[in-house]
Amino acid sequence: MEKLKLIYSSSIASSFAIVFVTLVTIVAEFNAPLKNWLKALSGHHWTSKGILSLVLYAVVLFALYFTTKNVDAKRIKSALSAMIGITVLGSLTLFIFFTGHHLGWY
Amino acid sequence: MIEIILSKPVLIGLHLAFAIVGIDAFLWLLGEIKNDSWRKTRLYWSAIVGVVAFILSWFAGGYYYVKYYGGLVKPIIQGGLAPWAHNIIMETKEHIFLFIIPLSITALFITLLKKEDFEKMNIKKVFMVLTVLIVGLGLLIGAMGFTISAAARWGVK
Repeated sequence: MEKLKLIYSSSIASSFAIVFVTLVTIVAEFNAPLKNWLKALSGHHWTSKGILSLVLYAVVLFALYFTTKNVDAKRIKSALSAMIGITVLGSLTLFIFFTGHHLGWY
Repeated sequence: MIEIILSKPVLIGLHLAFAIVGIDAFLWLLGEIKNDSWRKTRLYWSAIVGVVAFILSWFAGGYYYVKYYGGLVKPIIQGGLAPWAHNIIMETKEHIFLFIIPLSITALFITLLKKEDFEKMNIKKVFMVLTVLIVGLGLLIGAMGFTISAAARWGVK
């Protein structure tokens, strides 16, 4: 097992999963068919988002692990930093989105 | 027995207890990273305990959320003095929670490195930031959960 590739792939896969949850949550609030599809998939939209985000994480992780070459410290650092930044941005985006939704900004 | 485990108060208790174990495990991991000794077994097991605890917290909280919260608690909060506790806090909390599992698995993978590889890569600072982020999100989610519970208990008109 190549641990450097695993860390790099997991960082990128996590970023994909976090962006996916953030985007699908916001889009589904304005798109009833999408929210209904998420509900129908597992019985609850939140459960479906959880399952789909983990599936996306696993798919991206495996795809990158088996296709990426030459992972060095610089790439790992960048991937980890991007993941951390995306997590903070995703959290703030969701908080601001639901605040605006509640206050009737849109 | 299974009926007791799947009851509302026990599920909430398990959700919180596993989350606290997860937060504590990652705090332990943070201390291990900071002290520079790179004791691999301690690093690995603190991360494993953290990941497993967060997954169990997710299952317990998720089952409660899907089975009981929407039908029983959400209408009380939305009809009470603090509807924002659901509309803003719960909506944000339930989705941010989904971020924690991939983040903590990534941290676990870093603990698999040998000491010399970890030092050569010079990722101590970013690894510490990641661990602080996981702990911070866990604490934030805990505070959000308390606010939501308080809105259901004391926010009734």
